[in-house]
Amino acid sequence: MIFSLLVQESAVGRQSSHAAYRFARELVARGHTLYRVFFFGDGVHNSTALNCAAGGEADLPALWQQLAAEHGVDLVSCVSSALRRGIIDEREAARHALGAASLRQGFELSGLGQLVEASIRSDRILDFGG
Amino acid sequence: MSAPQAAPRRSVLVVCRTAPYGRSRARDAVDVAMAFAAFDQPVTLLFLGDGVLALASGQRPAPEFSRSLDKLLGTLADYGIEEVHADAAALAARGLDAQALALPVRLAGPVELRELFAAHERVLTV
Repeated sequence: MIFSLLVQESAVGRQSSHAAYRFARELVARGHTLYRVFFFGDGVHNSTALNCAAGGEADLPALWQQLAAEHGVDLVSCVSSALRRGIIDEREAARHALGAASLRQGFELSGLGQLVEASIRSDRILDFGG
Repeated sequence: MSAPQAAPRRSVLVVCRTAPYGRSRARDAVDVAMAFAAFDQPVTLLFLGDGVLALASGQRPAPEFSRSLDKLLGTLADYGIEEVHADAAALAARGLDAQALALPVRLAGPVELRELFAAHERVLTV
């Protein structure tokens, strides 16, 4: 079965993104396809390249990146949520004359249309943090 | 950014249960609903719990904080979102009735709520 996930809360200080990640791992372990994870609102903090996880704590942005590399999962952060929160790719950094980019490799910025498309293409879509 | 041409239409129930302005959730839920409508997906908006406060008329948020949500909700029909439902008990518990709302809303009791969740192919709480 083809799944997509909607992740809406920060990777830090809230549990729901961790639940989403564990659900994602379990899906692929059971032979399902995870088509896309769409990060929305505070969920875009999952896509930062500029975090340092404290010792003994899960580094969720790195874990998502690893999952995507292993299983070809599309990781998309909502561009309007991301720009407001300082999650910036190279293109937006250049366009808005910002000093640096902060989007982690393996993620891309795009619009809500990617959530709609994920809903259309997947058999199931689940929200976390709603 | 493009949904495929002649994409299948899957009905979506977008649920908001968070009060407006303290968080951006209500606004986000409307944005999500509008995105689905823009790609020709049948969308129903449902307000539960504190979320029903978003429907009250006469909202005057501080301008630097947020656009007025009731005005945005008033434009839903222009985006093809015809169906807005609210939990009748949640409205009553907050002293609101149909006359106090900024737009036409279908009031849902326990049976209608169950039917709404069962009738849609997708349910997203934003």
